Amino acid sequence: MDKQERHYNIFSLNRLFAISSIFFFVLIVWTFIDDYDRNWKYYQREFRKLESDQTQNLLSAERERIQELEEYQNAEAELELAKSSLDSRKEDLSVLGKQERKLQAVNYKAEQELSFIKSDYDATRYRYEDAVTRGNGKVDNLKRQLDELEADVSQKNLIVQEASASLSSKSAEIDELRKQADDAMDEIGKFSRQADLFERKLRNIDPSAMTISNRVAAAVRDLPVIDFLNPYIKIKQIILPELRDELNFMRMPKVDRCTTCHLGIDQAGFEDVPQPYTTHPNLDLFLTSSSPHPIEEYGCTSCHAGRGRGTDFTTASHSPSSHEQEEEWVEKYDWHEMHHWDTPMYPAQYTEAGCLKCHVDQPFIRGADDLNMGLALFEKTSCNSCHYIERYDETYAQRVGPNLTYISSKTTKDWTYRWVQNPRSFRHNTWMPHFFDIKDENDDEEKLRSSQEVHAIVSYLFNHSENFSLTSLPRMGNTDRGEYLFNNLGCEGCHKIQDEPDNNPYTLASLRQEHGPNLIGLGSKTTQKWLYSWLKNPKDYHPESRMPNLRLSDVEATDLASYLFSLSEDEFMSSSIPSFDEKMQSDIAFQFLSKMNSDKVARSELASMDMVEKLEYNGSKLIQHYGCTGCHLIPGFEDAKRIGVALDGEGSKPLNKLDFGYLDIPHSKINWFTQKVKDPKSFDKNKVVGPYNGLRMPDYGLSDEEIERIVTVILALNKDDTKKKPNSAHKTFVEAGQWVVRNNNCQGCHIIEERGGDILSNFVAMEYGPPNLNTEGEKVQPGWLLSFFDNPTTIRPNLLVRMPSFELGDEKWNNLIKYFQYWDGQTTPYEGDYTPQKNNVGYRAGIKLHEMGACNNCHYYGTTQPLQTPQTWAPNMALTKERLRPDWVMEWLRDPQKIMPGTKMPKPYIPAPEELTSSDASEIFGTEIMKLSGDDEAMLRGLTDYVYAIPGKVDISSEIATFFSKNGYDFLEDLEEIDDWDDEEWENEEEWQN
Amino acid sequence: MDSFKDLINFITRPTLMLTFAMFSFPFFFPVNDWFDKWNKRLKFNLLWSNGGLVVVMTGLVLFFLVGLEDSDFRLIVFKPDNVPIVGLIFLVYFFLWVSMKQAVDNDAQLQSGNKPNEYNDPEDKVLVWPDLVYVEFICLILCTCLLLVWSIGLDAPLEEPANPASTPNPSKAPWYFLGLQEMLVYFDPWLAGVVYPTIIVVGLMAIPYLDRNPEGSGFFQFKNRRFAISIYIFGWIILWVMLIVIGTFLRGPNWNFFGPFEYWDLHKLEPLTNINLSEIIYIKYLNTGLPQNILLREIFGILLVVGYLLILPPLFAKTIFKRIYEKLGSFSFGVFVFLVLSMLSLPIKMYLRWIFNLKYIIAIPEFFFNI
Repeated sequence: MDKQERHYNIFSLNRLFAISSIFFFVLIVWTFIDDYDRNWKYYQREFRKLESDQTQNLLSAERERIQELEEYQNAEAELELAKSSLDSRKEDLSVLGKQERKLQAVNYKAEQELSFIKSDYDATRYRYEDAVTRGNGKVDNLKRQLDELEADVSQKNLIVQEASASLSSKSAEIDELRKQADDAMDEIGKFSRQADLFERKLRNIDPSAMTISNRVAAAVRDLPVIDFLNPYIKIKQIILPELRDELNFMRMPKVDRCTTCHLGIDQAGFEDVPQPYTTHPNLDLFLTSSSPHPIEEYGCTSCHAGRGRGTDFTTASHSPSSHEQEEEWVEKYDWHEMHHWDTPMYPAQYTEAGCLKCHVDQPFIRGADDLNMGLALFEKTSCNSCHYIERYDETYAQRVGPNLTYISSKTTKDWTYRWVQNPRSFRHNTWMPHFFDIKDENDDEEKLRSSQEVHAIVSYLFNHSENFSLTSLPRMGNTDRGEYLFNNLGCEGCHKIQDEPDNNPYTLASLRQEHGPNLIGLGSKTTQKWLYSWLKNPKDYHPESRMPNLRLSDVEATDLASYLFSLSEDEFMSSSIPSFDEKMQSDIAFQFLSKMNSDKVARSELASMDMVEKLEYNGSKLIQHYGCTGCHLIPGFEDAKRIGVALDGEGSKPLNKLDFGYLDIPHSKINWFTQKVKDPKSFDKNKVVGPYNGLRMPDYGLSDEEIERIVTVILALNKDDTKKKPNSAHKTFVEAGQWVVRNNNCQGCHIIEERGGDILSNFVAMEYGPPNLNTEGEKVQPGWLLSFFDNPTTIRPNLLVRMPSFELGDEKWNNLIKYFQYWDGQTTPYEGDYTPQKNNVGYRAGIKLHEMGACNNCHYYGTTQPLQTPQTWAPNMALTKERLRPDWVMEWLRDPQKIMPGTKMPKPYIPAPEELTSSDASEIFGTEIMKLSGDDEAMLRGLTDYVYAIPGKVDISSEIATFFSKNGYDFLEDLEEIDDWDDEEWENEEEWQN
Repeated sequence: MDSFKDLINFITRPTLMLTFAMFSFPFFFPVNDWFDKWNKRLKFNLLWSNGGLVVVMTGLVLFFLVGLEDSDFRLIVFKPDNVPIVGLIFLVYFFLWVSMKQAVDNDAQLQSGNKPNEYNDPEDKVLVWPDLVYVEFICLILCTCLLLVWSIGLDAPLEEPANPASTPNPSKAPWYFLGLQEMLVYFDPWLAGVVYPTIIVVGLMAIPYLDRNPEGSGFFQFKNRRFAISIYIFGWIILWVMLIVIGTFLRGPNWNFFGPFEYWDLHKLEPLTNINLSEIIYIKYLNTGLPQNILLREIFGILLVVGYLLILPPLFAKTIFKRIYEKLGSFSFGVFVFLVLSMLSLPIKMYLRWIFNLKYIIAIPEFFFNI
């Protein structure tokens, strides 16, 4: 061809083409590699090695274990023996085998012939039936054919039966020959079942344990492109159609691929291997099929949040729990935040935020310690006073602060000013937050403003205070006696008197002991008269109060009032109070006036006000502004609404709905919530806003750790899909009761569900403290319990601590009773009275057992006092029939320690059968017991029957009160002096029993 | 360094940058002999020499390299969405250079009485295969390679799941529409979003019918077609590419303007109170309220617009565009002037906004008619 015709040199074009084609090819290969090379594949390969090593170890351990078993060795020896005997009869076996095969052929042929004839017969039968019904064909002919075929069938049948019989007899002969060996194999199989399982698993995952063909197949199935068929290395995912991810327009089923890398998460045995293979720390509660949260039903991100579909460290939206971890991750995994995923994984310390969405109705969530702490703090700080939260809508009081309707009867303006200005300077651990004196308010203008605001609030409160008629003290109280009562009546179940902070972090127990306020400084705050009236009946002064009535006598109340009044806070009262500043008051008034009016109107209104009116106006506006009415009942604001934003769904708020202002902190939800609780007004920093247009949440002075717990709760209040179990009667009743327990702080005194009883450490022995309520539902008759709640009577005679009257009303008491019952599985609410049979052997044996047990040493019998001193006194036996359930009494008598650990009640002496065989047995035990011949059950029943028949006065409260008012509780102090006598004493008792 | 950044932030403000670009434009693309003289005197023509390419490219590379030291700049430049626009800056200049260099060379050739470089013997032919198809095929492979490398190197910029309740801030159109989005700042949506795009498309299609000058076809040259080329380059570079670059790199949250080294602060506010022409006249100058009658209210705006579109063309035909009018005839000339006026209305509206805070010349929100 003529070279001139071409514009370009064809050879250089060819070269260019070759180079670009090679380049293109290289890129195609690169594309494949880039697509194929994923971190999770590396993890799966690594885990495969780990798993095969682990299985190998388990297998060899298991082999060693069974090798050492004698039975296994026997079985092995047996097998050897059987094998050798089989070897000796090899010829017989092969002859028999040949015969068997021949018979099989005969049998097979016969069966085949039978089935041919049978189908002919069936077809003919149809034709015959058809002919009879519709007249198609000759009936007679067909009838004859049918009969012939039927005869054929039965003949062939016979042949088949014969053939199969001779075949099975031949097989039996062979089996007989091999029986010994088979049995031995079976025996060995029983021991090696586990090892076989391991072996099978190993053959699947460990190439060195595979056959060659399998090994090739295992390598080929994971090759690129082919790996769409059935690869070993593949994305593992859990699809959860009911639990969905919120994607704005719609909710998409969760697809959790976490197990693609977290391969050992649901298997025990990988506890000590590094992440991502580590076993879940709590398999009893999570992931396994026997746990309440199986992984197939709940997946991973429904609790942990994060991006379930992500298969890469970053795209799964892992969140570091600290700055150090973040740096480590950046270095190790090239981690960065997934900015565009709204629900990043909870950092480790917030993990329990995932629990609440399903368990939202429960007052206490077992196993979620951090969340429980957060909820407790949430309740103490009473977030729901300002922020609506459905969980607390009906279960938790909105107004947790004192009633301010009669404030002028309780305290002075000076005290109130100082308190509002700086509550923690009066009571270091108060839950009343700081609205004023917050860190940033350094400039004088702000200081002046806050002092004038407090003035306005205080004058409003006192101007509107109603008069509360206080009862005069009938006598002068005894301070020492009051202190003694405070320490012993049970006040410390809810109150502390603690002058200085102990700086210990809060625990659930310490929060229960702060159910009521720390009672320091009352002498500076109020009067003896007020204290006396309050103690006599708290609900008179404050109908919403959670303080119960302790049914104090006049003497007790005066003593206590005098003790509490003796505690004063002089330093607090000596701080100076700035004077009124009319200019600032005018400014405050103008700010509020101009919010609703034009400036002109505001100015003219302001001009028409005098100082008193300004104070009044400012006070009412400021009370609304700061939301004082969230926690306090204030005259004029009885129907005030919450001032804060509702918190349900707050955890799901998109980040762009949270205003960070000019604050230079990393933008994440957790950071925002933390900052909000830590320094509530900081998002207004550097912003030019008017004094009453900015943020107004007060400062609670919480520690970083406490804030972390509260943030856990806020994160937990989200809009995620939930998978609640339908409410069973059990759950409903239990939860309703648990709320009563929680709101009334029952666990401050009592142990319920193995928690609480915090007051018990104040007593020399648990015996003298409030009882453990373990098995309460099985224990008491519901009717009695209700009447006890309504009107508590004395049960344990030597207890100084007393059950207060809570006046909760039938509904709540019923909730509590049903809770006790359902908790113990005792779901029959109404039971007939138990009337013991007196004319039988058991009852009479009971009389004898009771004598031997010397119950009357400690127990009252109606009004009959026990024989021993008050130290060991125990409940009135005559009360039993009204109070206790007989089944429970039997269990109690069987082993009191089991029901109430630490009780001083000894096990009643029940003779063992051997003891009844000794020569002097009938002399010691009497004939009735002999007749029962060591039947424990009958003896306990007899004893129970006897107890139920004990006559006498049931309510002996007044008798006991009279006794102790005469003799005092001095024995308790004696006990304290000899602190450990009890242990020895009762150890001896046990020895005696044995 | 900081003062350099401040300087850049200052001069990249749209008012300054656009003013500078528009008024310096004729010195780079001289439309008449006077500008041509200054073009030579200022040595702007060196821009299209080999040295000019090296200097401009080096300058751009240096600017980006130095700029990358700044975290805010890095953030904007490395956004996967924006990376191609960085490429666009280089490519647009490169191709402009390629054509302008040839044009300048050819101008020189023609001036010295030679044939242009591209001139070939009419008998000379080249074959479709391999001279065209083979080369195209190689280009195809190399472009695919580029796309592969790009897609492996930069992940697709996926963002959060779409949410009707919250728009991303700033929400930006695809890069090729950012010029239109910039126009939305100055024009009512129906103009910026409907009328102008239509005029642009129709206008581009009309070019072959309006520019019937056969001179210089088949090779690049500037001198004989300087008016046509300049108008086109003005519309293309200043009113389209530059707006895309501004929209990509310099528009931040709330569509506020941010210099390339400025932090995109969500809280930044700019005074945005704008008023209509009727308000300027009736309230500011006449001190009366707005008339009830819509026509009366908007009469000044209507007169202005009608005057702009109807009086200017015959005026131009008699004066500055006399020669063109004679060449094109009245219909083609009408279309031509309409297109030019439409194009110029964008910078005019920009300046009216910047100087008078003018919102609309005609504002009839009652009929959704605003200009």
